[in-house]
This record gives sequence, structure tokens and C-alpha cells, in this order.
Amino acid sequence: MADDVGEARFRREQHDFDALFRAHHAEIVRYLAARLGSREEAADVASEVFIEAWRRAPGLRWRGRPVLAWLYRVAANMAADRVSARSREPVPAPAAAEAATAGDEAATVIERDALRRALATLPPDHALAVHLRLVEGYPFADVARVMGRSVGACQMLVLRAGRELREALEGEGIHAPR
Amino acid sequence: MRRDDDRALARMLADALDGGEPPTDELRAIVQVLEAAAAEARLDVPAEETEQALRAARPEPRARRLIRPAAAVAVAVVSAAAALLLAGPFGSGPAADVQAQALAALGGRGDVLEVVERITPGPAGGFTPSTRTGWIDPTRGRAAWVQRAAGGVVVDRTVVEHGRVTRYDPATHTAVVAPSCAALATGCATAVDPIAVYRRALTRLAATETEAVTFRGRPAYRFALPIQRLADAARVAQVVTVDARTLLPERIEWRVRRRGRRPQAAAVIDITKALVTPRELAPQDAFGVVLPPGTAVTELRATGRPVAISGVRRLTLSQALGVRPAIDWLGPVFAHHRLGAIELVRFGDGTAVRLRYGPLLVWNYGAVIPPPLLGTAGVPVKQFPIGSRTARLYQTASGGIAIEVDRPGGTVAITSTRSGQAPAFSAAGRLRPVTTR
Repeated sequence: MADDVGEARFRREQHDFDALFRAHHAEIVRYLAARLGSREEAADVASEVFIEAWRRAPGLRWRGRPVLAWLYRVAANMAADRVSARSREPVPAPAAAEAATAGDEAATVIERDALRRALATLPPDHALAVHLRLVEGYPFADVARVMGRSVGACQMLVLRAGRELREALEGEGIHAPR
Repeated sequence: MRRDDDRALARMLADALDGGEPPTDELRAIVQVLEAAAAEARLDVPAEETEQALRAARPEPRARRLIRPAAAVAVAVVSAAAALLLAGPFGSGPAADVQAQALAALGGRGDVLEVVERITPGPAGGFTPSTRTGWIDPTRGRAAWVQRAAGGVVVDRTVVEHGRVTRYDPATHTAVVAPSCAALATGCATAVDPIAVYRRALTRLAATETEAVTFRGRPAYRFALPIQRLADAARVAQVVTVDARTLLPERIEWRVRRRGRRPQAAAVIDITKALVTPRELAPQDAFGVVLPPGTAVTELRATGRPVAISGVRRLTLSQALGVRPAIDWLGPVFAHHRLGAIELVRFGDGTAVRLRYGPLLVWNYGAVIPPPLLGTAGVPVKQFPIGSRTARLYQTASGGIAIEVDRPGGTVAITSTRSGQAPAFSAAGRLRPVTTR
């Protein structure tokens, strides 16, 4: 029964580009912003993701997963390509952490900066599980559907992601995020 | 063994993320770091941005086939019939379309909403019915309302600005200022406006199927928005009924789910007025709360504990230059007063940088208001333009004045004693980012 509903939604989103765009554009932008560390770049890449969806979504086959799962996979691949291309270019070191030495207001900047960096360096499946469950607020059953894994496996991914974030922050001397 | 332990921990973490109490210190720390990371990633993507991106990404329409007039009429009749079947009283339609239109109905970037809401408790709500009258400015993250109990008695006056809550209780003649609704003992459900929560959900969450219904004798749509987390981790799901013609909300039902139970209605909010108004036409004091003289003001930390100055440290000019966001000053000398101490003042969850110029103090701060400026929370006494910005003049609790101006990433305020009032006015026009010259 749930599969019938899921398939009906899949068919509708597959053929209604505007509805697909309106339903998922914001969350794809947020996901990409976390992966790329840039809100502007995220908006650009999200547009590319949806142009790809317009080209290819009508030809997708129902395999028990929503169109959203496909959108996230395309977004993750495009983000990985961008990060990889960026790593080959010289970039100036971020100024905020260097300049922010004069107190707690600055310390907050450092913590937030460290959190964003830690989130961006999570393995893609850990980051996606955290994004879907905590940023978008999907229940674990939906996270599992989008990721094509069991609920238990997704819960484990979030646990590991939490540990990795903690370690990354502690590695920078930050023990309790505000 | 370790793997089994981790599975059990992962399940406990899932429960904790659903609102349960983390059973171990490790899980508590993990929940904390995950919530903090998620808060960083929870960016607002306005519906207008989505619509603009959609227009840019939408493929060019295919050339239309020519239809003869008679055939066009027949097509129109069939289309209308099909539309009626879909949107009939027991039909359903794509939720996303209604959702997008419902969002557009709440106004654009230049609009604010004047609202009147009747709030009654559901089976899971433990409060008395009340009425809220107020204003919401979604683009600028502001809301203000007066809450009245039966008989019109004012229960509280609340202002929320960028998450910071100021609430005045006329019965006890006290006010509370908190950096977030999470600090309030009554929780976030009492310190957010239901329409603001609904609007945020429309921008972020996909509704389930939309149902066409009749509500108060008129055609309407009803849809459910998935569970949304408030700032104190309280969770609400919303069942919303919108008028089919105006697409404005008529009723919002908040549902809570307690562990192991079915969702129950916590509150039913009937919206008797939701008027979209250009921002410039809203009353000047729409987003303020008047604190009568003698009001006892308490500022709370994010944890709910009162704020007090916990330390002051001197900064050198080069250290002050390194503070981010950059701070404002009045230059090395202002009105014959040389720049005295530059100090980093710590209080509760916040810090401020304070610069002394004789009788004038310049405060640069973020979300948490420095305690000495607390008396300034409230409706501005006077607003006046400074360049492209607007300054707000307030009276402090100690009888002096403060002039407050927003700056990128925070606020800068100038305080003075009464005798220093005139220099404070001219000082407000001289504020600029600190430099070495």
C-alpha cells in the first residue's frame, strides 16, 4: 500500500517538473551549501541539478525510491566534482579564523566556522543522513527510503557522523558547541 | 560486541533525536553537536528564490498546436469538468501547487501581516484559550503580539526579533529578554507565532496530499505539513486549512506526538484576520513592546539562567581590529574625548566590545543584549535617519539614553548620561568600522 502511494508520487514528480522543483529546491540548496561551503555556489549547482532532472527524470524507472533520492545522488556527484576541481586551484586561507583572536564573539565565529568545516568533511553518506534527519527533519523511515538503506543502518550513520563531528571539533580544541 | 553496542546506541540516539532524554553523557554530547551542526546548515531559502530559480530553469514551452474555435470551446469544457472533478469537495490535488500559492498569499519581501488568532487547547494542550493580536514581518524575522485571556485581560506582550524574545507580563510588572525562545520556561510553543511557523514550514517542508474541503461554509484546502522542530527541540506537525479563494490560512492545528502514542492536537489556532500590508504602512510601533517605567527586566542566557557580567578584559587596538564581525568606533578622538579603554565584556552567553569616550560608551554586540542596556529593550522613543541607516533612541533604566544602530552581524549602541545627550546624537552619525587611523 505504502509502495503504491510512493510509486504514485514518483510518477507525478517524474512528469511535473514545476511541482518537483517547488517541493525540493530549497532542501537541495541547503544540502549543497553544507557540502560546498558556499550559499551562492549551492544555488548555482542546484539549478544544474534540476536542469539534469528535467532532462532525465521522465526516463527514470520506479525502483522503490522517490525521485528525491535521485536528486540527492545527482547533487552529491556534482558537489564532489566541484570540490575536486576546487582542490586543484590555489585558494587564499580563510581570514575569519586568523583574525578572530579577540574574545568570545570571535570564539563563536571560530566554533561556527569549525562546525561548518566539520560538516563539509563528513563522508557523503554520513552527511546525507545528518542532512535528511536533522536539517530537513525527515523521520528515519523516510531517510531510509531516500538513502536506499535500512532504518538501523541510517541510525548508525547518524551516530558515526555525530562521533566524527565531535572528534573534529575536539581536534580544534572546541569541546561544547554553543 | 562493540557492533551490537553501537546498534543499541544508534537506536537510543534516534530516540533522543525524537525528543527523548539521552541516557548517557556521550549521547548527550553527540545530540548537542549534531543539533549545533544542523542549526548551521538550516539556511532559509525563500520561496521567492525558488520561484526565480524555477523560472530560470524551466524549459521553454513547446509550440502550441493551433486549435479551431469550436474545438477550443470543447477542450475548455472538458478541462473545466476535469478540474472540477479533481478539485471537488472530496477530491485531491498536488500539494506542492497549493503550497506554493499559499506561500505567495502570505505576501512578498516588502509585506508584513496583521493577524488576529484565537488559540484553543486540544486534548494534548494544557492551557487556557486566548486571543493574539499582532504583526509578523517574515522577511525581517520579526513578530509582535498582545495575548489576551477570556474577558480581554492582557496576559503578555511579546516581541520576537531574529529569535530574540522580549516578553512583558503586566500582572507582575516584569519583562524577560532571552536570546532564544528555548531559554523561556514556557518553551518555544508560547513564543513563536503560529503563522510564522506555518510560513517557515511552507518554505521548507513538502505537504502531503491536499484535500479539497468545505470550511465555515466556504470551499477550502486542507493539507498536513510534516513535523517541524522548534528552537527548544519541541516538535509540532501542522494540519492547515486555507481558504480556496485567498489561499490564506483559516485554521492551523498543532499536533504533538509523545513517545508510543498517536499524534494529538495540542492547539487549534483559528485565524480570524490575516491581512497582508506593505511594510511602510504598518504602524511605527507595530514591532515594539512598551515597557512602563519601573518594569523589572531580567535577561536570560540560552540555558534559561539570568545574565550577568562575568568578566571584562582590556583589548589593544590591534586586537580590536581582529574582532569579527568588525566593530564600530568614533575614531581616536571624539568631541574632545580621546578613546579610552577598549574592553571585551563577557556576560552569560554573549560578549560585547565596549569603547569609552569620556561620558560616552560605544557598545558593539550580537544577539545577547549587554545587561547595562537592558532598560532599552522596548519600543523606540524616536527613530531618525543616519545616512542609509535608521537609529533608534531609547531611555535606559538608569535614566540615561541609548542610541542603537544595526551594523552587519550585530548592533552598535551609544550610551551616555543625560548631560551627554547632545554628543550622543552627533556621535551616532560618526560611527564607522574601526581602523588604525
